[in-house]
Amino acid sequence: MDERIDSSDLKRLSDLDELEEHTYRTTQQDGLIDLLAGLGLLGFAVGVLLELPMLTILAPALLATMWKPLRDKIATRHVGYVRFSEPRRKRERRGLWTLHWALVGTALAGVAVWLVFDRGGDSMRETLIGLGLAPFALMVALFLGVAGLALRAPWFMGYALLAVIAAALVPFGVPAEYGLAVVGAVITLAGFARLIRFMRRYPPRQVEASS
Amino acid sequence: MSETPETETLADLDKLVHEPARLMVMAHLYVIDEADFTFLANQTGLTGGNLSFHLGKLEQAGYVEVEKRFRDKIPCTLLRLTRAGRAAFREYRTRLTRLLETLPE
Repeated sequence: MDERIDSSDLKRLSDLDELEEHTYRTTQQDGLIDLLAGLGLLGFAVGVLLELPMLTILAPALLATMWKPLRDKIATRHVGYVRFSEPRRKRERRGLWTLHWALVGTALAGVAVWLVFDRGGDSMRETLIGLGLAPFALMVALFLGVAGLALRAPWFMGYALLAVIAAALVPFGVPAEYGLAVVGAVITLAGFARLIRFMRRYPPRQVEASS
Repeated sequence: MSETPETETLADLDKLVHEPARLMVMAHLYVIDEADFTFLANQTGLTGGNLSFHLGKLEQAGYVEVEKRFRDKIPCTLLRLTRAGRAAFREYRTRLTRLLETLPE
């Protein structure tokens, strides 16, 4: 690693808020959240395609619980351990709770649509069949948008846009489950690429010099 | 030669904090609660040996607290600024800002 201290380093030091923000952002570049969101969406779509409801339900829920342990195992080992100030941790907790409730809300909305389909009248059922899984794709888009805001990850808006496109393609004969599977695969690949870049940027350090 | 107020201020800057590598270390520790050696080395771009040397100086001055711990059975060195370290960094910034303001455009 380059050990020169240049003017940009010193400039960053003059604005401590900027320095804190920069420091925080380096811990958020591991791509794990993208990877898990992508795999969750892929599991959901493949579950629908193969008519495996357990996969559809469990994949997103199971993957959501894996974020913290994976982060400790992979990201912390590479970039190191840090505990931010209490206000920052509070903001992060608030973001994660928002994400949590967005996931629960999306799941409940999905159940509601399914109940309407299962118990609604014939005309309602026909309307929903006509829509395909477009409402699900829009819910996924909404969830990804909320996730982007909660995690302060603007690139999630791009993922949300892809899910909107998947919903928009339904009237043109492209089933939403195919569209969502492709969106899931794209997010997974993007997350994987981010993770590789992160691991290359911060190779694990073998030796900790004692001070 | 008599000292002007400006030179007095310059002379009063804490030399221990003023060194660029140590300034980086202290600034990074100032904006967080604590971090391990790996994190600080990644953020500052300093090599292990160099960081270790500067941390030794800061620890000696009572500015940095070093704690050896195990995380998941892996030894890690936790670092945080002491109360005196935080005060010294704040004081350094105040003095430096005041000094820079006295310089002509």
